[in-house]
Amino acid sequence: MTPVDIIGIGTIPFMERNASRTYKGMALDSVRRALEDAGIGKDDVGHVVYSIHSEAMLLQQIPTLLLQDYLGFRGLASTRLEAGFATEGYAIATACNRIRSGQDDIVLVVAVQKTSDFFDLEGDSRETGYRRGNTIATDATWLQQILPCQEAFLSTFCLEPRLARHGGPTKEQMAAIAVKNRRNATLNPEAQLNTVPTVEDVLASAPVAGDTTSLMCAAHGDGACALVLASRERAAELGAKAVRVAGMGIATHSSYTVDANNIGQIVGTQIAARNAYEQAGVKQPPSEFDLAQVHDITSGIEAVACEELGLCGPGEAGRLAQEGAFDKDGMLPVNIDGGRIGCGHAGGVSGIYAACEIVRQLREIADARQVPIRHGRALLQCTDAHLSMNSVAVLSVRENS
Amino acid sequence: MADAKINQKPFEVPFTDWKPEYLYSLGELSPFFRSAVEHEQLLATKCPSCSKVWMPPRADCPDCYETCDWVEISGEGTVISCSYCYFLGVGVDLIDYLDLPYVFALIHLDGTDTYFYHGIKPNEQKMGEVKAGTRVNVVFREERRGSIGDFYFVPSEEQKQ
Repeated sequence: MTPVDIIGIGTIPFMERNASRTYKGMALDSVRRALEDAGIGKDDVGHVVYSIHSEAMLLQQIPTLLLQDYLGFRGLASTRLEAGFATEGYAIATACNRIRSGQDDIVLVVAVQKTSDFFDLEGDSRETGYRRGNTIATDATWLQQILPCQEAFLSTFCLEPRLARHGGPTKEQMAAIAVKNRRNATLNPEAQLNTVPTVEDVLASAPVAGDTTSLMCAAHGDGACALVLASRERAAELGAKAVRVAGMGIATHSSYTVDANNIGQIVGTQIAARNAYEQAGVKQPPSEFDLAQVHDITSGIEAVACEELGLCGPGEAGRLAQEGAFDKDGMLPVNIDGGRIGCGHAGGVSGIYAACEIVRQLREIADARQVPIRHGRALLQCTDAHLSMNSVAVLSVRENS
Repeated sequence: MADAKINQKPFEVPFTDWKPEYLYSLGELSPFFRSAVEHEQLLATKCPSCSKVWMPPRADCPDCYETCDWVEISGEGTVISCSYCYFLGVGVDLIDYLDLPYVFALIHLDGTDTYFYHGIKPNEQKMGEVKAGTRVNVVFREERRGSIGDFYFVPSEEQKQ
């Protein structure tokens, strides 16, 4: 099977609300940039994979059908992936498989999502509108009528039992992680938020669920980005400054079967990481990466994800974050672009944006937020709001082809 | 000429016609909800092959693919994990009878082998009393319609008083 390279990235700024462009326009903006970055034309693309999380938020049940035309890919087949907030990883894996199987030598991944058109007109509120929209992303029979918000789920299923069993992450540690991501975001001109709260500000912000406060939560908004993937041969032909997908693991674990075997853990991330590390030959996760882009739907979940990825022991990530280990100049920078908490979050998009950031970092063109590239390897992890569907990718520049 | 007439400012229009209504079929899970509505009785399911008792009930065992049997459970259980919640979504049944903050919990109901998500109404005078290990029991609402929000849980001690 031919190795797969990322040869082009296209990003646009995350915005709390992007009223000046429709989701189609946003997709086109990012695709135009990705093709230009890859040095290819639209006609070179063999297949399009759409990473689109929510139809309801787009007021559109057939976004793929319409996007394929809007982007001018007439005559070309496409695939749409939906795997909650891990849609992005599943989309990249699917694109890789198209290339590895020999069906295509260039595949475009298009990620787009608006979350802010969902609006509570009576309450004149974007927030409650979004929350209402989000309700249908939970089980209609067992959860929709009793779940207050997704953070309640994350806290109850994962964070509280984790704290009880492993002593972390604590509330203060989760606040420190939120501050880190907000600080990183100030170095990213495409980030939605560009101010830095203090740990005290984060702790004093509105309580949401358990120890999680509002400033520890992802900043949802409107976003789009695109990736161009190619076979190693085609990437070499194009002379692209490519980043290799050295390992790719995807795994689904239980969503509503909850018992002592999965509570307080992200089992799917453990499995996906094991598979990705094995493919990439990663033996000592914390010391083999230059950066990690980890799913920070809340800052507590970022801590648990770091632990499940083997970057440190269970219960240790929060303390390490407080000590600066995951800062820009720390042992392993985590969410250097600001993550979902600082840069922005839209399901189906954030993980692709994180992949684009890794490519920028490994190419060493990340300007003010560039981290030193010593190992030539980076880690990308996504998980959905049920912590059920998971993806882990190892991206690399110095792989021997 | 056209330029003068073209205003590039985004035109944002309320879109309120799309209000989907469903006649949502509970299908093979109907016995659970009918039992709650008509008899105030919680049911779980038991796999005839592996004997695992599922809660929430599953008509089909995902491990054995056997058709499960319905079994009555007491509605009492132990809190495994919980979070006090300060934000309640729009359009959630719980909003009708639980004030903020309230407790979202994973409950191990007696006689079952899996954990069950639900809401607990804490005693307002004893905020923080609900934690892992707290015993709870089910309370059915007066008006039931076939929703998971037809019932909720309260700390067992409080109910005795």
